[in-house]
Amino acid sequence: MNIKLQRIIKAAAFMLIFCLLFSGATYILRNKNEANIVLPFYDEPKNTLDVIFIGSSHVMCSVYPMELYDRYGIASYVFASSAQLLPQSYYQLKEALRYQTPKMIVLDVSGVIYDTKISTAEYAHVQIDNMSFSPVKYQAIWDLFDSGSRTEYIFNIVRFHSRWKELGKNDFLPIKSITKGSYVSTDCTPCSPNREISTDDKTAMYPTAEKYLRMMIELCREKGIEVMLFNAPAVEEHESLPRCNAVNDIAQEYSINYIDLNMRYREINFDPATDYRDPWHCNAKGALKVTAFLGYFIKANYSIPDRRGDDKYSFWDSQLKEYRSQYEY
Amino acid sequence: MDRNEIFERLNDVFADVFDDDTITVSEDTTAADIDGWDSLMHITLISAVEDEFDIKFDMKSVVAMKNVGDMADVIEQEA
Amino acid sequence: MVFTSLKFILFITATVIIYFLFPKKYRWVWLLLSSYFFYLSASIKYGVFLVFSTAVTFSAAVLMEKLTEKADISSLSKEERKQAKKRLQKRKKLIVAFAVILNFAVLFLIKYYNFTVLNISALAGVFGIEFSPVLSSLLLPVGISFYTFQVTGYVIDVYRGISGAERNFFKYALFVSYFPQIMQGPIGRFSQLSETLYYGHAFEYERMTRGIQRMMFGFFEKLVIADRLAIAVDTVWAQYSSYGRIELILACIFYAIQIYADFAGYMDIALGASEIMGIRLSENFKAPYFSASVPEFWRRWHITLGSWFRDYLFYPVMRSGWCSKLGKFIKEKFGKKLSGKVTTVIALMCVWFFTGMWHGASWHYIIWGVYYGILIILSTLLAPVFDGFVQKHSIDRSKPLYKSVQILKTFALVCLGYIFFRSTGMTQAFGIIGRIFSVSAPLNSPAGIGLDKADLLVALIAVAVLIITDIYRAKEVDIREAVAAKPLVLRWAVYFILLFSVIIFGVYGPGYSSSSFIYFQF
Repeated sequence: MNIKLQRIIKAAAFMLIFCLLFSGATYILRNKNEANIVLPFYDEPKNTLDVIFIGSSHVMCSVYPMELYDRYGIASYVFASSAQLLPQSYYQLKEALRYQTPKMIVLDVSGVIYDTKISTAEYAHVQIDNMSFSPVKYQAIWDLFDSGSRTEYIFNIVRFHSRWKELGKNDFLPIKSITKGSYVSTDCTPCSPNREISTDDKTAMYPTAEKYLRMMIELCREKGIEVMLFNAPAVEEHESLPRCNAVNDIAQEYSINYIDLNMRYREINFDPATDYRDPWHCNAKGALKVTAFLGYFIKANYSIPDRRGDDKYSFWDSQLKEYRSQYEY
Repeated sequence: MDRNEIFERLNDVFADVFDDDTITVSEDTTAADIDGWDSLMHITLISAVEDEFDIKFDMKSVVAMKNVGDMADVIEQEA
Repeated sequence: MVFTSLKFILFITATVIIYFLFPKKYRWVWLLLSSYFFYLSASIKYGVFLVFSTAVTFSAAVLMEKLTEKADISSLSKEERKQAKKRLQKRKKLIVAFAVILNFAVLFLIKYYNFTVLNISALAGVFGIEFSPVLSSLLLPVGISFYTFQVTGYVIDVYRGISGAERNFFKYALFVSYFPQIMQGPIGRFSQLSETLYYGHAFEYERMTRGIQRMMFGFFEKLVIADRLAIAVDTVWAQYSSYGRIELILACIFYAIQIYADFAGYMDIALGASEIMGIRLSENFKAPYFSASVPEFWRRWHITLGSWFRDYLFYPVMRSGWCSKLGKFIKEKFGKKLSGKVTTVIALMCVWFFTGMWHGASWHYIIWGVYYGILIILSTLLAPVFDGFVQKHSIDRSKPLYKSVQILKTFALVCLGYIFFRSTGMTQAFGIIGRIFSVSAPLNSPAGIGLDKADLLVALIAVAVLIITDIYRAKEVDIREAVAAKPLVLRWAVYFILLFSVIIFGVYGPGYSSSSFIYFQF
């Protein structure tokens, strides 16, 4: 073998081993926040989800897809991450549509109270790092971050390599949850009653939030997907209710539904004293009320098939069984 | 003055400066070969050689001379 | 562009690839372009100073050489020749002095002006004269201390006839701006660098791998060792009065290792990057902490700076007219023995005062330099006494124990000096020294030093690796050849372990606040 060829092969082999080790190290070292909740999304059989919830921890804590299936036969997933703002949600939506052809998207709009593209780098990592490698991920990185910080999202080892001393079992063995993207909690923080304001009390939307909200709605329209806007109860963020009320105008403009359960929490018998995990998030008790209402509303207003008894969806029944044995609330 | 004579006289100067009678220098003896030939001793050595041969080294010779052979070249030229 | 950034890795990759794509004859042009890109990416404004220094020294050198060529002395008589030579020498001296002074004036104005006027005003205050000086707000262009020394060294070499003048301005501009060395050296000599810099080197696989290996080790020294120890050093130094003697001594030792790993790491990156392109830069370190004496330490630490001071300050001072006059005067009055010593002491103090000052416009640097001056003068003056002592007690100098004690003694003296170097002022320096030597200070303190056990363990292992490589360096054995001789699996294991210890254990990224190389500020 001539020496040139030998060297090329050697260099290529070296690079290949490097890439393997590098991606292994990247996976092991990275922060696994919410990975157990988000990554099972990629295990869902292609084009089987009918409804996908996109948004932040608000929707993650207040919507339980397993209950939606059990009670209404709705096959859904909460594809969300903590403190995810609307610009981030736009890419989360695009990512979801690479794998699924849902009939309906429910958008959590709690992020409208922020003017920025992301909240903090830590939270942005939770979203970006749990995304699969795809053009969407790089579009998101390009759009959401400034040039100085893109590197740490493309190679997240830049941020997380210092975790070498805090590695635990979870970092080596991926643990997957079967909650279909929701975070189930039975903790309770008694909160004071929600603030009451009129729907006329509203503040104009931030341009960034509005822009991406419109982009999401239009993307769904283009693909013939129903869109519904949604805001979960969160007592801590009531100061910003006027800003959320501005979403009504957008919903009207596109003739779509917007349900703000901060305005309508009485309708579902939501009790701030017992139904909050913390002032931002529902616990299981609250989530059951929210989920029941959403299921009812979706069933009544959209034509979403009942998948119970469908052979193609029998895996949902076994998953539900496992879910029931793991979670009690 | 022939080269042998220069080296003979240089030997005496070196022995005197480095306080070591066993030193014999040759064409390619360098600073690394002689214990204690550092920049301080270099200046002392240069002055001693200048006195011995009644010449004056210019800065080029002081800085750039690489071995005793170079030194002898300059002495040959100047003296 | 810091060497330890992804940007630099991209830059050096692109530069190397394009270097080998250029026609051999014009490869130096590419180096010039990328060097200016590298330098100006720090700040366009700095470029003005760089071009100024380049232009002044380039013209001065060419002018001196042209004068020499024009002076046709072949038709003259011997006496006339001597006269003509003298006249020529005088004019050349004027030119070289002008160029050197101009360059140092710029350096002075930018780096030392504030320090000087503040000290003058403080001194005037002592005599009851109050004035508030006008301070300059110029930023220090990166690398100015390094390239000013390099260009002045060059004109002096041309003046002395050691090297010829470069007639191509752009080639000369490359000598001044060559990117691996412009920020922190090594301070190059034209006679050594010109050949390797302008020659269009062919691509060599072995050379590339060796260069990359050296760069990797540089990253290891900087990111894994220096920046990790820096965390502890910074913590202890900032709150020195709350630490005990053990932590303070440990911090001094850590700093000694930090600054070495930092600076030598930079050199390994600079020399490794150059090696890929076939360019050989001067070595700046030779396992300095294995030195048995302080003078030896300075022959093995920052070698190119030491030799600059030797050739362009120490020798000229020692050989100057007034120095020999002073020598003669003392010789007549007090005898030969003393005369040599007095001139040596003056010249050494001069060198070490300026060595200290070169590192920064601040008294603690000057004290640090003077400290070394005193140590070196003492070691020269006391050498006979010490030799007598060794002979009297018939100590065997060749024994390893003797050598180890010498090495430890030297290291301790160097560490002591670093207290002045690292401190931000004299109060802090003396505060730390006072605590280390005070009996009333506690032995240790419960306060953490900023590194946990895991980090300390990593540092310990990394420093052990550094010591092993330094043993090779001290013996002048190339460790890369030793590794290359091993079977492929073992060899690659070494490379991957090195590579991934940098990636994983390196101190970089948003998890750590990014740090610059220590020598950037000088």
